[in-house]
Amino acid sequence: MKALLVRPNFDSATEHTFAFAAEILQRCQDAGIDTIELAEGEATRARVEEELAKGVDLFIHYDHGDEDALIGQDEKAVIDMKNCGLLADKEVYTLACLSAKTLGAEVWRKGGTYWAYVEVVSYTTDALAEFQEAFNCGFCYRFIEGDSHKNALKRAKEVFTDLSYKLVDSGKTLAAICMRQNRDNLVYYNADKPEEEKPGGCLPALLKLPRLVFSAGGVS
Amino acid sequence: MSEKELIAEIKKTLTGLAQNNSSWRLFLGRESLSATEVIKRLDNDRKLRKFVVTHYVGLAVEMEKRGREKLFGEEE
Repeated sequence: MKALLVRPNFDSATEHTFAFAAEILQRCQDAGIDTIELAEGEATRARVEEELAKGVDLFIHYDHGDEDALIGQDEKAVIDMKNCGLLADKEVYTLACLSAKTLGAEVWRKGGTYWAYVEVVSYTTDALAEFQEAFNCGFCYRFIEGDSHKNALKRAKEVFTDLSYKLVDSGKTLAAICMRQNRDNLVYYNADKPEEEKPGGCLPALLKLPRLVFSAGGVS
Repeated sequence: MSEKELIAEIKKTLTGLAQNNSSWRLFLGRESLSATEVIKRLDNDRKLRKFVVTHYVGLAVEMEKRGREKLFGEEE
């Protein structure tokens, strides 16, 4: 397996995520996964596109995100809706906020898998070790242990839950609620389908009807 | 306990953090907030208030369920 790890470092949050990603890099190296690292100044769109074009199986990104983008060192998108075809048929594991909403769904439609969060990721600095454990454990379940998409997600969510209880026990309740929020916002397409792809009831179907009618008309 | 009482208790904890751990931060995506800033935001920011209350209550419900399962076994 060949992996590409992207980890910028330009603000307080990315200082933390940069450190979280160091464990991922170490795990990859220990497991014999051929890993290319694009860190800090190397974490740019041009370098990401260059390395993806060479062919990788797994794309790892530890940094900020938006609904339709993963951010690089220059605070610009390294991946967005224009170049996300480069992630077609690849496994993606990212800590980026929000990106599962639109970008992740699109990568999934292109045959890729996507581990990420549908809302903003939150954490507190009094429990960095616990957050690192939670953010990284799914990677180990899926790519080091080789567990299935579904099981890796299920086990990771259990870790988030257990850690939230432990944080309550140690008096770190704000950390505990952040842990719970991250658990609820964590998704893994293909273990799960994007919200819009899930079969809905009558109302969602009716709401989609005009769009379907117009798009059918457009084709003819 | 009302939402108002819950927020008041959380603010007491945050005041303690502000006094005893000045480097403490809450990260919400790109935003980094000190304990003092979170206290202020809890008064005015409805979204943050909702996030805090929702997950405190959700966590309490889960802990109650976990406690019951410890007593009577896992529920189907």
